[in-house]
Amino acid sequence: MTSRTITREIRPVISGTNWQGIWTLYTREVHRYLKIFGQTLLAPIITAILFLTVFGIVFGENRTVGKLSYIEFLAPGLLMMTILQNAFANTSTSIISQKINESIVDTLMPPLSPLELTIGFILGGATRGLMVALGVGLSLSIVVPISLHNPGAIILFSVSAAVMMGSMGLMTGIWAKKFDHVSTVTNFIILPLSFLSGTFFPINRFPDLLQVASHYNPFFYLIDGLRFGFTNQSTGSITTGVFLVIIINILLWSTCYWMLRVGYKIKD
Amino acid sequence: MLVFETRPRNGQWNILGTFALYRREVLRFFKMAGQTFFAPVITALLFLAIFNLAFSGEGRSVNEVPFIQFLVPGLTLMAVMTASFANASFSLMFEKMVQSIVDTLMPPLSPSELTAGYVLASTTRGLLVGIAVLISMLIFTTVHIHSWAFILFHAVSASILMSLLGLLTAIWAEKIDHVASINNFVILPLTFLSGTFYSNQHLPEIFQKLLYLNPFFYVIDGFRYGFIGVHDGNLLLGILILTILIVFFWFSCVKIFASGYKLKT
Repeated sequence: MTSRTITREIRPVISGTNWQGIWTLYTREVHRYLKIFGQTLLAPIITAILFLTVFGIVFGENRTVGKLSYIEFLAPGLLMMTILQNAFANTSTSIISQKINESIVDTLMPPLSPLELTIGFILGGATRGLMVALGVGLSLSIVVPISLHNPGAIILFSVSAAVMMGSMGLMTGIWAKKFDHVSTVTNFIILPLSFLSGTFFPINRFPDLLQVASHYNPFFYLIDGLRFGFTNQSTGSITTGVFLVIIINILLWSTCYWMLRVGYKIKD
Repeated sequence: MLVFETRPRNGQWNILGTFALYRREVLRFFKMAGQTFFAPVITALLFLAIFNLAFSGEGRSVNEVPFIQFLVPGLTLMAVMTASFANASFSLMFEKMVQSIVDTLMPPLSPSELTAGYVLASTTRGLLVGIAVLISMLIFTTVHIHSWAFILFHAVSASILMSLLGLLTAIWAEKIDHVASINNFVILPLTFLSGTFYSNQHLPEIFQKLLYLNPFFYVIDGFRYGFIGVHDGNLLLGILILTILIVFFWFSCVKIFASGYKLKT
């Protein structure tokens, strides 16, 4: 009898959301990467600066893409690339290391519903993606003239990219059996997609077939949308981008929820 | 008695022991071929694709050499260097973390033999990755060979140099974070900015001077000369610097293994 009372105290049985629980999971996720901020925040910033330097040098100053100088074209692409890679890295490595250490039970045991777990993890990853992007943006703004043309689009596309990759990372972490699997997804799927979706060059440089394929690539819309927010120049349709990204986010979140609900590969 | 049997007392090399260490190290990276071979190949191909597409139709060239011909050696050597460093550093670091390093230090292997075993294995990985990257790029472009000697010398010495640096990093590092820091904040910037992707003639004058202070520049420059027959820096000076660095770091490694710094407590 007593045990039931205790259960009721920490987890409302009837209804309601365990906000405190979500917050705790979220802060744990954030502290996890802040502890190693050299790797999780500084390293990606250095990488973005290196890319900007190398491409800036190679492409010279007199190159333009549309009305933009190449550097202005590149900067939003690098920002989005950073968000994509880091939000994904956070959730995927967090889950897989907990699985490997067998400490995942400490996350599953507390009175958090599958939905609450999903939210806590994804927001943790998204925060990292956005924090890194902020750092990259600030450091790039020293050399690149950055104008906030459409702040609404900037926020919409960066946040939806961050939560989208957070959920993809979550799924990868849950599915993976060892670290190797996570690196495989990172190296063979996330990296190529974030490199080839219009980060470094406009997709009209692709052969025809790949150009058509790019219009089904959500990463392309994310990069394009963010670039629109900064520069008012876009290759694809922004409306299509918004809808596609929202639909994909709903699908991914539902999948994460389902995976955590049935305990796929984490409860046995 | 056992020690005397497995380790020659007359000062000769414990060839069998060195080979055993070498073999273990090589098997270690072959076990995860996906990460150790395919990942760098994909990365190099991605860079090739990006630069190629971004330049498409411009007929751009560096020193009369088409840009892609200029890029292929740079990307290959970057893969070689990254792989050699990663192998030496992560292997030893991992042993330290799981505290299995004692199994490597206990056998009758002298400091020189330990250094040789680790460095040769990492060099093997670096060179194999280089070959894999080069072959995969041959699918998309052609490669001219100007001088095999320059290609081989620079590939092997770049690989040995990076393995030694990786080994020193891992001995010094207390956690994997330290290794990653050196990798992200020292090795990556030096390899990216050493002329992998551009000729130093693209740089403002002050950076051109700085580039001459970067040892990695000489490695890449000499290696590229082996392919396209064009170079930016002084080739002989490059060879000299490389040799000196390798000898210096090799003996540092041996000395540090002998002292037991951060390995034996």
